[in-house]
Order: sequence, then structure tokens, then C-alpha cells
Amino acid sequence: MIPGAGDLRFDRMPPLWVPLRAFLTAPFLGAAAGVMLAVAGPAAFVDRWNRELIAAAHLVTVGFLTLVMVGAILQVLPVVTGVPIPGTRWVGPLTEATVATGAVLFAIGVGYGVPGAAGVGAVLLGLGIGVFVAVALAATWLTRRNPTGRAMGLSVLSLVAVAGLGVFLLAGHAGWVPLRRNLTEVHLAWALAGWVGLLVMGVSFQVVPLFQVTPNYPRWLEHALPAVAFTGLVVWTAGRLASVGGLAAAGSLTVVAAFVVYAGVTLTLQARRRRTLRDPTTDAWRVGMASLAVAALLMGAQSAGVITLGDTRIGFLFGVVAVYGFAVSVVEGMLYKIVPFLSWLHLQNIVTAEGLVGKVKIRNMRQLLPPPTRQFAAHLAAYGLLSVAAVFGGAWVWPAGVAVVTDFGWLGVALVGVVGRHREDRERVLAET
Amino acid sequence: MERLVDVSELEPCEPLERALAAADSLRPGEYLRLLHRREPFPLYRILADRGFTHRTVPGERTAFEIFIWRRGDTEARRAVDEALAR
Repeated sequence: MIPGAGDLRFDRMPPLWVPLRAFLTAPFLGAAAGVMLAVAGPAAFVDRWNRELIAAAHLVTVGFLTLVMVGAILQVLPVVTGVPIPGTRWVGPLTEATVATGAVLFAIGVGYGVPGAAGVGAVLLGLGIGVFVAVALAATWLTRRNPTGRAMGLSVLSLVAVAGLGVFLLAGHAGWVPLRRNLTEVHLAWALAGWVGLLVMGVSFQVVPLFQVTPNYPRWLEHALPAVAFTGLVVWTAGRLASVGGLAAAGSLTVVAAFVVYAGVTLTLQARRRRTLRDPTTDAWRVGMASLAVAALLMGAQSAGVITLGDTRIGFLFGVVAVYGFAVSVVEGMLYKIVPFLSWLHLQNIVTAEGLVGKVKIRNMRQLLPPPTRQFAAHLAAYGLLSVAAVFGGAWVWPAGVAVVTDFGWLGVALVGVVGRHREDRERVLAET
Repeated sequence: MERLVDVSELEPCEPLERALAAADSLRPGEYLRLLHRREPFPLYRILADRGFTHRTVPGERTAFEIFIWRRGDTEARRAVDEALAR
């Protein structure tokens, strides 16, 4: 059978440590971004080319978001599509180690002016992302008929553009090639709308109905929207690089429309969820989708010539809303569920394999990770303080940095706690054999 | 005789836990009709390991209906066949 939206192939899961290593490391890299902001203070939010701001932003986007998303693709793709990713056992560790180390070295290099560290970081990121892209594209090509597989494939293609442009910009900063700062917008657009936006879209087709007990996404949306957004990005890029304003505006508005529709449909599905019990995952996705709509509308207003984002306070706010409000919120919301779910499922598999079903009791998801309501409140506080710091700058940057450390640090400790409880249960189960 | 359990509005991992608890309590001649919004692949392996047989069909109220009975329970099997024929 060809698995569709409702058919998940858990028998194709990679080993538990493949996604978990990424999921458990990533929050601490996000916390490092908060440390950088807190140390830098008001200077970080004066202009967008501030070194510490660029470094902290990449610790969040590469160190936290990309690391989690690599783990999510390695985990979700085989389960959703039934097609295993070739070499997961070595591609996973290699990508995770190089992306995590590369993100830290890149941040140190750019943030504190250590060119050698930035160079080694860029090489590691290029190596890890290159290997990952090769195998992920091969796997997503085989699964192109599945909406999630297709969206993931387009997302990985976007990552190629993001990484390529990133390396080119870094080479420009190093003085190896002319620095073309106008490509920064292209790098940002492919990172936020392509790599992050399309992947969130693809993953959400599975995880929103599964974990939030909502109706499925409409089939037309699953099949059409990722391709529409991707095409819009291509058109916008062509228009921008060729300096054809009309083309760029048409592409930009297409991307904006796709993401506004996506956010609106997701919020509508959540409003129709069958389970009325509130939980932090649903709230995190609500915040994420509302932020996505706001970010897309700000982008649309710029395309229509109403506002200028660029190096303005509203530009800072756009960055906070798009990265922290949208991407970090939905990824944290996903981690609240997926880490205890995978831990529980692997325990269940061990119990079954050892013939101990009914003889030994294991913790369920809620016992592995009680709803992290207070950690989510810390996330909201960090989002709020970052937004205030974006608009007013000055002394607000310090508490915003501390709040970011608290948000990510608390998340990391909570997830490590899940693995600790998983280990206890696992040892208890294996002691029965 | 049929035992009906609707897990379509529960979030993971409750559907699997409730399904296993209901299956365990089946008496001779009884089968379980599980209403589910997804096809529960992890459940199938566990059921097989615990001596149950299942059949999955498209549902009317929910996307999937899974009929579960103890392996070798011919009376339950006959009841499932009759239910599916209706």
C-alpha cells in the first residue's frame, strides 16, 4: 500500500538516538544565542549588521531550528512515506555533529571576530548540510507523491539555496569575493519561507491532526500550497536578481498569500479540534500560526510599498515575529510531543519484542513529560521581551537575552528529563527479561 | 458479541493503551470494534504478539474500524464476519 495522510509507518522508524541527539542538543544552542544577546546588550539591536546579532540569530536558526529540522526529517520521512533514508545510522550523527559544532564555531567567529573559527564553522556546516541534502533529496524524490514528502523535498531544495548563499556571503565578509549584501534578503527569504516554512508545512500535515486531534488538512492544500509557495519564491528571486520590480512583487505576494492561507487554515483546524483540553503544544502552534500570518502580512506590506523593513525598528520586529514567534514556537510545540512520543513508542516496542506486554508497566507520554505549561510561559515571556527590545532597543536587550536563555535552557532540561525517565523504564523492562 | 470502543478523539498514546486494555478484557465469543481516525500500525504488532487477530475496514463514523478478537476464538470470528457482512 502507498501510505497516505492517515497512515504512519512506525515500523520504519530510525533508531531512537538518531532524532533525539538533535532534539536534545538544539535547545542548548538556542540558549547560547540568549547568552550572546545578554552579553552584547543594547549594541546588538542597533543595526542589523551587528556581529553579535548575526551570530545569535544563526545560533537560533542553524543551531536550534536547523538541527531540530534535520532530526525531524530523518524521523518523519520514513514513518510518513515508508521509504527509509539511506545511511541514516551514519548520516544522522555526521550531520548532527557537524551542524551543531559548525553553528557554534560560526557564531564565535562572526560574533567575536575570529575569522578562523568562522571559516572552520562554515566548512563543517557545508559538509554536514551537503551530506544531509544529498540523502534527503534522494529519499524525498522517491516520496514525491506524498504531500509531506514533497513539501520536505522542496524545503531541502531551499536549504541548498540558503547554504549556498550563506557560504557566498561569508566568503564576502572574509574578503575572498566581493560582498554582495543585496543577496542577504534572498538568503533570508529562502531560509525563512523555504527551508523553515515549507518544512513546517509538510510536517504539520502529519503532526497537527495526530497530536492536536484536529481534522486533516484539505487535500487541495496539502497538494498545492507547498508548490505554490516554492514557485513564488523562485519568481521573487528571479525578479529581484534581474531587477524586475513587477516580477519580484508578484512572486512575493504569491508567497505571502500561500503562508497566510496556510496559517488561516491551521488556526481554523485548531478551532475545530475535537479535544477541548488546552495544552501547550496547541497554544504554541496557535502563537506560531498567528505570528506567521503577521510576518507574512508585514512582508506583503513591504511588497506593496506600504512599509520598508530593511534596517528599521519594524524590520527588527519582523525578524523576531518570523523567527521566534513563528518558527521557534512551532518547533518547541512539536518537541513537547514528539520527544515523549518517540520515547514511549520505543519503550512499547521493547516491551512487545521481549514478550512483556501486560507484565511490566511503562510510563505514558504525559508521565514522561507532563504538559510544560510554565516552560511555555517562559517562551511567551522571551517572545514578548524580544519584541519590545526589537522596537525600543536599549536596555531591553538584556532581559530579552536572559529570557531567551531561560526559554531554551528550560526546554533542554525538560527534554533531557524525558530521556532520563525513558532510560529508567527501559532498564526496568530489560531487568524483567 | 460486540464491544465498541471509540478512540478517535484521543491523542497519542491513549488510543493504543485503551485498545489493549479493551482487548485484554474480551471474553470468549466477544470481539472488539475499535473506532479510529488513523490506521494504528504499532497496535497491530502488539496485538499479534499477544494472541489477537484483527481486520481493518474503512469506517462510517470514523476513518478506520478495527475488529479485534482472540486467535482461535471461532465464535468471535463468526460474529466479526456477520458484522462485516451487514
